[in-house]
Amino acid sequence: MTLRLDLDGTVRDRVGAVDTSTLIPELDQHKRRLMKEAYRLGGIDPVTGELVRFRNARLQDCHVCQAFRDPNAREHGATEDKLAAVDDYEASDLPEDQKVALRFADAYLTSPAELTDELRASMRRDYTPVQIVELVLRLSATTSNRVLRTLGLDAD
Amino acid sequence: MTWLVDGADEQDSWARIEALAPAGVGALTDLHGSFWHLVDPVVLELCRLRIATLLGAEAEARLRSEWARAAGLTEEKIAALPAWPTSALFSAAERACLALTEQFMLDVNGVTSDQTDGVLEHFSTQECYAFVNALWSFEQFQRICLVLGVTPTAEQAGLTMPPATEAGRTMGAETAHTAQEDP
Repeated sequence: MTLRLDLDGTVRDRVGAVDTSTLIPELDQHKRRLMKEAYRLGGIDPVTGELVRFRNARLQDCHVCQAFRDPNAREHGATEDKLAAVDDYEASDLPEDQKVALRFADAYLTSPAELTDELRASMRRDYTPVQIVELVLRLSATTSNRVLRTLGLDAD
Repeated sequence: MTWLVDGADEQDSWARIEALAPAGVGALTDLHGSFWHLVDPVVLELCRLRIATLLGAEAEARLRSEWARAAGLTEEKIAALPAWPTSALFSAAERACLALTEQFMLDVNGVTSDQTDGVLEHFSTQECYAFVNALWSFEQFQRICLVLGVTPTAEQAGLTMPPATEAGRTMGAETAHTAQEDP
């Protein structure tokens, strides 16, 4: 991956991506606010949230996101074995509610217009409306790794 | 029709979702509406509508950005959007941006330096950064609408110009860095 903007690739932010904070500060403020508010809702179990975040990291192949670990989720049991299970979660021994969240994340990330009635019903069974909104806000915030990938901001 | 909140109809679906998480949804919409003075609004609107087509987001495809309209985007040009690679209505800058948009949507890992360099021929580093962030924001906003079955208005989606900027509308359209070269 090549850095595609005229920036100093040696200056990194707290998660290890090339620092962009001086480019358009107001834009980065908006992005940080979305991330903060999405996570501040706090209704999603930390392990489930981390599995969903990691699933997105794997699908986008974002190096920074795959290397990152949420300390809070780790404290609550998001082990490396669990994270490794997201690639083939249907065949894993993850609990059904976490599989439902991962199916929902996959639908969001791939074909949101084709969310099935069955998956909607599963989500309504396992999660509250606020938790579902939290999940999509978290997905929207963490998919900013697509910007990193496009511009090479996660370059090694 | 949203499946998340019982009894919500299309008209109030966004408000019902917003009521569940006002600060979070507010942050999402504020971000979504924050790009129009950072990059040529015509380019942004063309790319937002292209994303809507690629995602099958029919409701978002019916919305229009006031910023882009004020900057001169016509319905004729919007109608020609599927033919952007060959239509004479599109400038080189718009083509470069639409090409990156399509690759961004199809496979972000397939984006090439040629494609980003194509945008950087017309945009500064800041504008290119803002543009790619706009693609991401537009895409995520539309994914949320689709997956939750909600239908925001243009105002709820941050596509309208705030009344306070009415006097500056012409100025905003003139000063936004333009990528609208004569095709």
